[in-house]
Amino acid sequence: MNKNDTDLMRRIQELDFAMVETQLFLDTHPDCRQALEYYHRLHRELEPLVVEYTAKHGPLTPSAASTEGWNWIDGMWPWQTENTEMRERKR
Amino acid sequence: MWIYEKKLQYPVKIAKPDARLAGIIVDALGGPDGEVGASMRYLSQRYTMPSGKVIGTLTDIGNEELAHMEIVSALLYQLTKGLSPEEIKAAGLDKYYVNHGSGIYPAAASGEPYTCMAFNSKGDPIADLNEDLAAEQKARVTYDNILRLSDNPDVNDVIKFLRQREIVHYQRFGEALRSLTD
Repeated sequence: MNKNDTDLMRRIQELDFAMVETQLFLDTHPDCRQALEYYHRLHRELEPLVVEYTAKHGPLTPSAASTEGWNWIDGMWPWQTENTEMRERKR
Repeated sequence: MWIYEKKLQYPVKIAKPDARLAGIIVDALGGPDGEVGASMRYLSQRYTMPSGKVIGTLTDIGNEELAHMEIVSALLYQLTKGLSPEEIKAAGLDKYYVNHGSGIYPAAASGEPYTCMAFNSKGDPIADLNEDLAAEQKARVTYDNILRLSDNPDVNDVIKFLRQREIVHYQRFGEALRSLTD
């Protein structure tokens, strides 16, 4: 994964976390219009980035898997790094 | 990471409460072969599995077990909602009630709280997948026993669904195991 792709995942994680944080705030402040707008703005920004990431690296959720082949089980899992997998191959 | 969906995997709609049955069905939540343990088992074991096929299978089944936790919890909720302490006592659920009230708590039907001692994560794919095959069969037997002890059609419909899922998971784990050995 090159730097641009690492940055893309990082941005997805940032937006995703901001949504989680805002979701918790909205749970106890359901009438806050500002937070509501912020939540949906984050979601609008996130969606195309997920589409871009999926096209480059495969699905983040099973329903985003390719229609050409079941690539849900391909590629790295979130807890794997190039470092850990290289060590595995050396063993 | 996880996303929660505000829906059950299979509908639960119990016409009338039955505390006695709830005291039995709680085993499918927090018993040694219950859904909490099933989910924790697969989601713990998946990290060190050697292929995407096996990691994916454990991830997806472990995830489905979380949905089954919710289904069993919905059963317990609907079977006990609105019962008086007298009704609870008459059904023999007083020992649960004194600690948990109407709360949903993962415990065995015999009262022991859920414990991770009922499963293992061995770091050995063959050992772990064989445990998983046994776990699905043991859970299937618990559902068979519940069906023998229950004559409530609303409950049995849901239990039959959960029982069927144990069989499907057993099939998939068998295929996952053979993908490593054949």
